[in-house]
Amino acid sequence: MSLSLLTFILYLLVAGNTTYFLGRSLYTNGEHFLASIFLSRPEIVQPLNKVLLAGFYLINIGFVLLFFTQQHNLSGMQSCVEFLSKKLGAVYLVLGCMHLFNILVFITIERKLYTNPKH
Amino acid sequence: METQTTLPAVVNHALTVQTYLIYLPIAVIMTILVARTLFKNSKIFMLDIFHGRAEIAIATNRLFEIGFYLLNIGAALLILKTYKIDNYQEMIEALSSKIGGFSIYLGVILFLNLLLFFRGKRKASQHAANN
Repeated sequence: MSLSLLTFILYLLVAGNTTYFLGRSLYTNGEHFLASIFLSRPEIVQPLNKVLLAGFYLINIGFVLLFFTQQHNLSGMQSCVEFLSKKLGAVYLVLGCMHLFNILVFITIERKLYTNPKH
Repeated sequence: METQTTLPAVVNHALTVQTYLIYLPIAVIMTILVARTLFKNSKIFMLDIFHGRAEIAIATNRLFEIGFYLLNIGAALLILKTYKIDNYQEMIEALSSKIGGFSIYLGVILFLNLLLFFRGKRKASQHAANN
């Protein structure tokens, strides 16, 4: 098997696993937030959480594939490691920024409802 | 009189890969250590911010921890690339500049996080005082 093919497979494996475990973790931890926001409608929490998880997977896989399809000349170990680190680093950074922004939005909503409970 | 002959620039690929293989574990272990220390101690801030509601405080703490890992490992991977490593001296110099730069970056992010926690705690205590 050629080195570039191996690199691509490794990239997809690492990125796919990260996507999966990240999604699971967000799903379990985000449930408390949603339950706290939709206190009066507990039946909406589970479906909404699932929809959010599906959206997260879609965006994540989209980014992974988007960064993946660029042309690269992978001739040796060095360029393989550089390719992997550049691509995975960009994916992680974008995802991390998005994730932190999401938490801040959640906290803002939750706080507004908690300090001003009208629902 | 110029007697120096210019040698053809041969980049030592094996040494570069060695540099990467030393740098990456160090960066990842540093990130893990900092994240564990920060988020073990931030639980108490979160409990204060969320007025003692333990469930949501711990969930928020965990979510912030995931974001912290993503950002820092992403940054560590992005700054990996080095140019022109021919001998061990250049390797050590490159390693020290990379790891030093990453440590400073981690420190800045750590203090930003602390500021965020302090700000949240102050706002929460203001709100408690108003009611």
